[in-house]
Amino acid sequence: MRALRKLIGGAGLFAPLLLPGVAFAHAFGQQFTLPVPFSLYAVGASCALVASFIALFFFSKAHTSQVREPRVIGQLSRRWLIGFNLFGLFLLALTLLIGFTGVQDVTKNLALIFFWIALLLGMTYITVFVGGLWRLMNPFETLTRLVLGPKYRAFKEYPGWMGYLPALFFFWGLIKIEILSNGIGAVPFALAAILSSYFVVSCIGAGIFGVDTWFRYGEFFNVFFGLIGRFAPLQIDTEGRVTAQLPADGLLREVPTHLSALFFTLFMLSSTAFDGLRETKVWADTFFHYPIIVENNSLFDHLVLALSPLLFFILYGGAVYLMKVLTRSEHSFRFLLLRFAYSLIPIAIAYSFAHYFTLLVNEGQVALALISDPWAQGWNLFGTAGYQVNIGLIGAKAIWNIQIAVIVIGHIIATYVAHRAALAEFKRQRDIAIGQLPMLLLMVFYTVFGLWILSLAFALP
Amino acid sequence: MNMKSIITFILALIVLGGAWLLLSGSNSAPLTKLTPLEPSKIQANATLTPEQPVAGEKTKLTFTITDATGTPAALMVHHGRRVHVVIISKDLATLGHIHPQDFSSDMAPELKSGVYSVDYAFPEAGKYIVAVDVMTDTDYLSQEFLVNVTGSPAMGSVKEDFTLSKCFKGYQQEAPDEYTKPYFVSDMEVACPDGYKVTLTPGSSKIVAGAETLLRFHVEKNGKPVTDLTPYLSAPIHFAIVPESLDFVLHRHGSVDETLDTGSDMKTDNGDVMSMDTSGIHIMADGSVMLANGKTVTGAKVTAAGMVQMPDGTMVKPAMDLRANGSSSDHGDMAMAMSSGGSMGDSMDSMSGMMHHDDEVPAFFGPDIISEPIVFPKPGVYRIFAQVKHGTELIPTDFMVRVEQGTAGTGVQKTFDLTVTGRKIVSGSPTLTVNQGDTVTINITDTDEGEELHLHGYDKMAEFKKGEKATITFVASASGRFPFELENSKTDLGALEVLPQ
Repeated sequence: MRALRKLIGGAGLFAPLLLPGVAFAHAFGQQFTLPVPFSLYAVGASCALVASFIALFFFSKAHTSQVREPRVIGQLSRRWLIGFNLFGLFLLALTLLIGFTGVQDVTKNLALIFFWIALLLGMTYITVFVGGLWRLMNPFETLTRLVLGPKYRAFKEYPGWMGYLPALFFFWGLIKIEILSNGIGAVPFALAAILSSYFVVSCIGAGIFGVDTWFRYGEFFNVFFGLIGRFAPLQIDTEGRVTAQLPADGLLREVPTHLSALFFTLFMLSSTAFDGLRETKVWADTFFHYPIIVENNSLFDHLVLALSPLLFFILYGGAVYLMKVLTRSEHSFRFLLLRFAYSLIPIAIAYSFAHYFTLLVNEGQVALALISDPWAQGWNLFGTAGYQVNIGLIGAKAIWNIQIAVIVIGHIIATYVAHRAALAEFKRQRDIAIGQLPMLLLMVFYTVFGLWILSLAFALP
Repeated sequence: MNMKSIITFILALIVLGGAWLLLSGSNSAPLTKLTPLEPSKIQANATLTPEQPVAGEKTKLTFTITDATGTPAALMVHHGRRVHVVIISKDLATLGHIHPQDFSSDMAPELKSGVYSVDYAFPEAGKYIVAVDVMTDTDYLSQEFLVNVTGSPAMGSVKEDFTLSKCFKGYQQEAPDEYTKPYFVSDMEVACPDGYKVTLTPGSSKIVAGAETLLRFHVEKNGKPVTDLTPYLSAPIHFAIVPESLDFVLHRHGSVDETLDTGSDMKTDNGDVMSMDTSGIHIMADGSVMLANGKTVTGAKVTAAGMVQMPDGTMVKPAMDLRANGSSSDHGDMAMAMSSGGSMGDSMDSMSGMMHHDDEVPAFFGPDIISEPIVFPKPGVYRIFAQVKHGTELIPTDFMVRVEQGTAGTGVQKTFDLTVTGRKIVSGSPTLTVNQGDTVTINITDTDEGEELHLHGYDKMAEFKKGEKATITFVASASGRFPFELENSKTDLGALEVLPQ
């Protein structure tokens, strides 16, 4: 969402068509991070490397491939479940209402912060610790169920080849709106319109394939938070059962059955990397002296975004293929691709957190002021209307350290998950040790690449 | 040669060297030119006659003011005069505020030669800072000089007194020569409740270096708020602010407190409410009332306090009062906005359209005046000299404040000059790198269009007209990378990078 800063340019263009006379004062989702200094980047990269080799040595002695079943620690009452449902509906209603009727100013509209910051960032970070919360709240699902009624029967069976492809398609659309739409996503009215249309699309999807199926495979937010939530130590299922497990155990319990799950994960990584890279000087210097790219800048961006998961896949596929060759495994290439897919999730979460967490800090403060006066009527509902954003809340040094630490921790967890997967799939001690080498190198590469992006100087206007 | 003689020789060298340094120090030139706080294309140089001023004796200060090419600068009138000279002693106890214009009935020779002079008798021996303020239609210069005065008596050290409510006696400026007389702070302060009671309230409980501060002045006389203060040199208040270290003089102004009603609605005969801008109403010399469009208002009356009573009974504050001394008023000291040299200059300038940059000032105002935002560049003790006028009396106030180190302020100044042409920076770097805590000044000039500079994060804005310079100044307290853009056209220009400490 660093790129959201670009949104404003387009917001200015778009707004007059939609609502004449609307003025936009600032950019939304602007980040004020400095590139990580080279020395810190080197420290982070070395940490990742050293940690990997310690892991290799240490993990090869661990022999448990067993994933323990989660322990049931509680049960939410029906009241709680309805409460979550209502809370989700309330937030969606508020977002749409403020989006449609609020001040059409990127800095003064709470709808933007609700969606881009609270949901896409805040909910993600919460879901890392408590999985399944979104499923309980998902207002699109609640509304669709209300619209279609409890007795509704699908009239078409969901084709197996589609897997998570609809969700992946919406993911791609979301990222396009976020970074390549010339700012439509930062126009409150447009955002509310997009969310309303998305609800209609969800109803149609559920109408064709059935509510349960659609909201399991086709609906973006359920798939997105579902994948991230697998990592969480605490889980709440749709029946309200609360379970506890070791962090990351959830990534090992199931092997995805469809390659779209792998591409969904790879797109989490690649879209974040692309968003970071395209603002850097290196990116501009590499591509922007070709007239054909400069002239077709937008097309180029769309092309790179669409192809980015493929680039990440080539590396991942290569590593898995090498693993298969080295271990002479009887498992199919496709199975191994799927078996290790979820081990990338910790890296994807770390990438996203390192790139975007400062937005949560800054826009969260903006929200604190706006929540007291959502329609700019001079209200002061919670006494926070006069709150002034403190851009110095977290200094650049602290930000750097958090970025590096999170990426290195994500890397260590990912190697650990990959190792456990290797333990489960390879029988001989030798295969386990050698087999995970390519995956380890791949992860070192992804991690160092992520750190490198953070260390790059920004392009000049 | 033995060891002892070598050591003796070296010691002798040190002693001689030290003595030479001391002597050369005390023999330093009587006039030193300081580096201006803000860069300018205008150049000012000064000479003294006699070259070494002596306390109590008249010294001629001659200023040569040129543009960058050395030709005499085309000075404009600002705040009533073309050249303002402020002289403050190191002990912060004396002030002189002089204008060369007042000593020459015809400014033409000076304008041609670019040479302006004033006489001043430095009252005591010691160091003085002499500040010259001039303006052309494109630039502004505040140039300071240090002057060493010999003789006796020697000035004392700074007397610290941070009282923010004091009484001052007003004084009449009868002859232009009055200007050449320094006034001693101690002479102007009187025991309350005599004179004018002036209270200074800074905008924040603590004045912090590098941050913008507003100074509010409240004037009372005989326990009653003074509501008919008059402009002095086209401004409600003039500030000369000088630090104990005597590095610079900030020449600032203020405005009438905005909380006051400056506009008034007027009902016309058919009952419509007509919004009337008071700045448009003039009281003419014959006592008639004229609107900005030149039409005379029939039936309007001028009250003793200088207010205009419109035909419907509403009271309106006039923008200008052109009546002669005491013509239509029995309150001698109130109706004399025109009587003193300063106000005469104002009205003449305004009338001939030569005034520049001065905001419209109501003819009467009070009791509250508020300064423009003032940035004290560095911590330390400052003397704030502020001059306010009431009728014919000038009220010379002085206060002392202590400016604190900003929480993260390094006191280091970083100034960047950016020139924009075709919405691109053509002079200056798009990446401005500073350290956390530095005081950052960004000057921007756009040769093509009027625009607004917006620095994100710090959220600083500065509007500017085509070809005119705009400035933002602040302490870079938060680290990070803060893009700045041309706000109206949404053009990214560059970014300020504040490196963490």
